[in-house]
Amino acid sequence: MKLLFLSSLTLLASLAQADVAVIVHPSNNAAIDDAAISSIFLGKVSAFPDGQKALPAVPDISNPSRGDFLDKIVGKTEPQYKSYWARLVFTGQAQPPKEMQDDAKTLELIATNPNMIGVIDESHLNGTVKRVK
Amino acid sequence: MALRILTGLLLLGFMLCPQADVTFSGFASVGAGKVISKKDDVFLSDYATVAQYDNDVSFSPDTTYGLQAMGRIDDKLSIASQIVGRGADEMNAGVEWAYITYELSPSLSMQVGRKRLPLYFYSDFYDVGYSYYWIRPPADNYTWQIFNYNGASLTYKTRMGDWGIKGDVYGGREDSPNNKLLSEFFFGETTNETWKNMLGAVLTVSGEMLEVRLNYLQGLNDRDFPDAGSTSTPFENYRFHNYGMSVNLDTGSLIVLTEYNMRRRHLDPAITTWLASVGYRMGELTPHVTYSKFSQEKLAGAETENHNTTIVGVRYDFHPSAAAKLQWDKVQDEGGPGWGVAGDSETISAAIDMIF
Repeated sequence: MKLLFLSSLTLLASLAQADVAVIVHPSNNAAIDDAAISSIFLGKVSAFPDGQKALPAVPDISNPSRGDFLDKIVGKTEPQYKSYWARLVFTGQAQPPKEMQDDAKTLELIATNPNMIGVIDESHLNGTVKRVK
Repeated sequence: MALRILTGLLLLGFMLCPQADVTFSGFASVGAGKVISKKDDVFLSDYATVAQYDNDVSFSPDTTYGLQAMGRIDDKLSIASQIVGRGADEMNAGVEWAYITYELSPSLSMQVGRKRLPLYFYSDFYDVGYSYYWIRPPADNYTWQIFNYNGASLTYKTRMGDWGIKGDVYGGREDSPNNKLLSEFFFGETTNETWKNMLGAVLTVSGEMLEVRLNYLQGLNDRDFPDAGSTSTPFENYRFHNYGMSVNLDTGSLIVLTEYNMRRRHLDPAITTWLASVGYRMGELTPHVTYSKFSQEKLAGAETENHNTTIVGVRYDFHPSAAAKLQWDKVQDEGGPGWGVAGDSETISAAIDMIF
């Protein structure tokens, strides 16, 4: 009983603190730091630090991880992020990130494409991808 | 002609490549406004399309829509087309962007086709009201008669730590028979305008809060007045140079925007334009104030064109993909006798901008 109570507490705590994870294909060995991550998600670069093409996938507006992605990875509010990307997309400066509704689909995409980089809730992490943040 | 061929190619591409991954997106602005100063005052809110407000409420100057189709043929090749319709052109849509992008490497790409001329900071996304806080960028800085071109560009993107660095070089030309701004507004007769042998470069450095953009453009200008009995003086191969710099800061709450441009053509007096703007983001509301100025140097005491605009406004992000805006524009036209543009005016306008 006590054990069950404790583990529920832990579960609650982990739910409240659920964080986002930035993931890439397991074969991706580029040195991907925070600056590289935000630059890719903001379309400032289209390549990983090792020069390989980088294709971003982000949680869409219906995905519960959207808020944490905007706040912790790119540091923008929803309107700021949308205004920022509108400027790039309608001027041909960058291809917008793929918008993902479902973390399971993101995992599948990242696990099968060495050029992709995505964002999911860390509770959905599994061994098919590599976490870089 | 080149444009028609490209548009045809684009359509053909979409038809022949059913496996191409095609995405559609768009933007729209619905705006209305009215001059509130003296009767008969006119506010020229957009020079290029001769969009004007007067004493009657009008929806045409700030109502715009754009639809973009982008097709990815494979990892390296994509085609894009954007049609834009404006109230100032009776909402008739025109293909303003139609280009092919080829990635030479993940950092280097080439675009060929029709694009916006990146003369000023807001040139490229001038139509996308959602991407900035005004209803439209200050008119004094955007007094351009040519705003698109046919040609090619090369873009290189890299990064130094937290700083993104983007370099563009481009070249091309634009023929604008019966140019709208010159024919309808400045000369009152058919004016054919050509900007050719254009060669330009843009360097953009952007950090977490600071963005700096430098640009240069040179080219040759031909102008011709074909109407019988015209007394205007045509010219050919007048060399022009444009230099521009923008420094913008966005801390998340405080926003400071600046832009400076200088242009010279042949022996004409140089034109300087600049703007300075401060905004403050408080949740969904962003109030802002701006001053912009257009001045032309005086040669041998001759009269020239001079005007400035003061803007006070607010942007309200009432929806994740839409913003409502309200703004007051006060124009002071200080041009010498015969050099006034649209005269003094005060205008209130409101708009809703969205993207989809």
